[in-house]
Amino acid sequence: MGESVAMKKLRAAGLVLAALLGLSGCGSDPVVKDDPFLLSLKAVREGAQRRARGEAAAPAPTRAMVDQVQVPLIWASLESRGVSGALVPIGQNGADTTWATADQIAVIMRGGVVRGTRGLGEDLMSAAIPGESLLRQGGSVTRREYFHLDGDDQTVRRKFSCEIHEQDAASLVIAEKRYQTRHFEERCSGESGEFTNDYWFLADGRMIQSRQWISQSVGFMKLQRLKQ
Amino acid sequence: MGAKMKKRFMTASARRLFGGAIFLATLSGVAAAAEQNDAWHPTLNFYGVTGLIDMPTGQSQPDGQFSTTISDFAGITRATLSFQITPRLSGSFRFALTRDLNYYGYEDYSDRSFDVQYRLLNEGRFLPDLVVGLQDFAGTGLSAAEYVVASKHLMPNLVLTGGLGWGRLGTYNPLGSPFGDRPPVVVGEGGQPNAEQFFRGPAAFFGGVEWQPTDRLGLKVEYSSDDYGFEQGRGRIEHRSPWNFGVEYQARKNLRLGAYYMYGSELGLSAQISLNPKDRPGGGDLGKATYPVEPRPARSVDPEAWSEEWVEQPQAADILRKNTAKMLAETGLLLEAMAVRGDSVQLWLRNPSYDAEAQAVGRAARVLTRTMPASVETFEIVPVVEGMPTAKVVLRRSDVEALENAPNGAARLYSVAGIVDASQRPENLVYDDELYPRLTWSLAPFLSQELFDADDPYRVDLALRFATRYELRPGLVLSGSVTKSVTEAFSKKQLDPINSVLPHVRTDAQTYTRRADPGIETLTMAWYTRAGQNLYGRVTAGYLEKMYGGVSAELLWKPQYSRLALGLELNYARKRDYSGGLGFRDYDIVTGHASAYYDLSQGYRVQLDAGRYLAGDWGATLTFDRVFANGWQVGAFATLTDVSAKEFGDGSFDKGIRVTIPVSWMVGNSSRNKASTTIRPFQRDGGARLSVEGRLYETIDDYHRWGLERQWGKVWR
Repeated sequence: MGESVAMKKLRAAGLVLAALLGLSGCGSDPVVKDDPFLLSLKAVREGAQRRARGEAAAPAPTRAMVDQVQVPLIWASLESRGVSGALVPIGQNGADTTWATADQIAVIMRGGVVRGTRGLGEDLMSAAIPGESLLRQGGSVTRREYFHLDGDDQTVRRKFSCEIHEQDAASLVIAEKRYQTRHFEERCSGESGEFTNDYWFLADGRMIQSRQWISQSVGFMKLQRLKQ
Repeated sequence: MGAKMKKRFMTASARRLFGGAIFLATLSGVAAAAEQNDAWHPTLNFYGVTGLIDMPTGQSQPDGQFSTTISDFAGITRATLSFQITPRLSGSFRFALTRDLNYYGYEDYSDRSFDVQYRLLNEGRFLPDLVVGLQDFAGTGLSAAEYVVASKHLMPNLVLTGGLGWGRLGTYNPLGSPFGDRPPVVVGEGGQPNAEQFFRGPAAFFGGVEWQPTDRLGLKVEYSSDDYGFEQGRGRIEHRSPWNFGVEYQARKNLRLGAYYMYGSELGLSAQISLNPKDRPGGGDLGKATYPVEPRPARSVDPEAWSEEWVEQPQAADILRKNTAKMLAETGLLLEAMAVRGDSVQLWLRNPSYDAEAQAVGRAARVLTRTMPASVETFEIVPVVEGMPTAKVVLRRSDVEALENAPNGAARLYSVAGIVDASQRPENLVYDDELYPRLTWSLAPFLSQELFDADDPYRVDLALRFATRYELRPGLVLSGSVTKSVTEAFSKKQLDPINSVLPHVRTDAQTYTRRADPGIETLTMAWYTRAGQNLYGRVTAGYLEKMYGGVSAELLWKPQYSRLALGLELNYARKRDYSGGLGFRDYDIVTGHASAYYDLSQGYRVQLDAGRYLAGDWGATLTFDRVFANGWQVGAFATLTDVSAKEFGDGSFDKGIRVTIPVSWMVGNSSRNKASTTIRPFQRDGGARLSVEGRLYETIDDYHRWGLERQWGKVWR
């Protein structure tokens, strides 16, 4: 069956258009998708789309959803980006637990204290952190050291000294369940600036919620313990 | 212009930049997604250097700042690329077009020029910032000027500037000639430093004030020492006043727009697009996390697990290799080969995914903690590129377990890691049986550009490239690519006749662009090998580049612990048909170079290549690069050969700048791709080199000790 020249031209134009609008080169290798030309266009397009529809936060988890899950669960939110997601443990090395989301963003914690993140951009690469028990003693003093990578992939060390201040007791609702908590602030300052972490503890000493500083561009991460 | 994408695997390429305001504007669009309030830094002037409106200031940009400025007034358009080479030294390359000037036989006169500035003093409590600068120091002299200028903050957002200018900047209301008369410029072919003119002739005062009432808004007033007498004489501009006024607006983090009233008669506009390689648009690496380390059970708890008896099992090595290969593939890495013993493992690792080789090594180490029996205590990870083992990174598994989450764990792991040459192959090394032969292909659009045509100084064309690569066995690769223009933007332009008196080895490049469409870009067989300890070898034969086919052989000596590397390259090249087919023209040449590379540390590198060039001329090329750990490279090169300036033609000798931007930096995701471009003010036939894929230094540098070290911070990423 003969194809007219016009048809062929149309089809060729369609292919070119598809290649441009789809903005995806194709190939046997994933590397081809990294074409800088395509990616920069794609980033602009996605940015525009995001701005157009407004950043949508993931729906908060319900008690029914939490009850179905058989593993420990933390609900993590990033205020600066308006995103949140569930973390489950994927590794244990000594006292440190690596938690991760389904899309492979990881948070490394000792107890409830964050000591690393992976996949957030300006990640917390590692940190010297105080023990969890120190954080629920008003008046105690903690020292922190954070290690970030700068834009040229060089390690930057940031030191802070902090004081723990007990705040008014608070009543929290997490996944439709109410908790009576003691609220502590960890006020940190150092040469590179200052920030305040917040922790909420249950009467038995377990940390149920916290808000912890990650890095300058990521800001604070809020962590809610959904399941032990 | 030789704008070319570094092919790592088999990638599509991208050609752009400069007039590539398009490109930079796109980037600034990307960057806008992660907008932050950055500290304000000095702004740029109409010449694209740190300054007021038409005058420079005593300030500098932040170290590494890379900016493009486009300005226009009175029919004079200037496009400038500037780079802060060191904290004190900066350089600029500019293309300027003056419409209806009727000069030198051209109605519209175009000019290319280079500037350098050096900051002698840093602002202190009493001292000002002080800069000495040379403008258009190697050109035809039309915009040549020298200056000494000081700036001082009166308030955090108010800067006062005053300076003395010579040459063009000493023409309005001169104070006299402190260093004697200015000799007339000998234009010749241009492009050579006019040192005898520097700071000679009349000097005049200039100055001004910049005030930033808000973060985004800037106001500028200046007193200009340029009388534009030449342009006024040709009716281009009416100089009624030395005072210029401007308003600037920081529209985006990387984009500043300005509007001006100049010389009492003209309106001006400018756009400053500015970014810093050390400032990632996305804030950092947004790539996914990998498997965490899986520590071994304590020997006292489970002594069985630590036994070495598994070595006796006949299938053990195969099973371990397959498990490791599978897990590596999930994290974007390839197992090339593996050798296991009771207490150690050597893994030959191929990294198609991560710009930081240390990141690939760290991920492989974490996979090994999950696949290797507890008795295996030593991990030897060997990055492999083009089948060649490069460095051998030796890690103790106990260290990997102990330092995964330790404070400053990356630096602490480096201090206990060993990095040595990997040319010795273990006896029991077994290749992955599914890796070879390996066929990969891609089809992707790319942009190419033609610069500095007087009628149309920035021409860009969109084209498609189909590329394929067939790896027969480790180090032996058959590859090829075909291109076809989509927009056919170049074909509309009539080519000027070529006036080169040398063999036309590069001046007819545009004929290839037009006629080889569609055309075979490359079709080669390449063989890479470790020729011995610290030695690497390559032989490439076939259609090497769009313009030449032939054979190219190279040998490189590059020890892991030496900042010096030495190379030898010998080529036989024959000129290809214009049609992009398999035929040849009747020009052939034997060319070759001896090369020395020296890593000056702190991110600076020099390269000297001496030998015979494509037109049969003998000489040497000196290249200076600023190499950022994250993969950015900005460099300049110059070639002097036994071809005289007159024979060479416009520009007198071959020179240019080159810029490489890693894709991972732009998009915040892991990628080994880079966009590179080379910009020459003039492409002539003297000092031209063959362009061969896979030159050894650039192929292996990332995988060597310095390459691993400069991004080691990402080992736990």
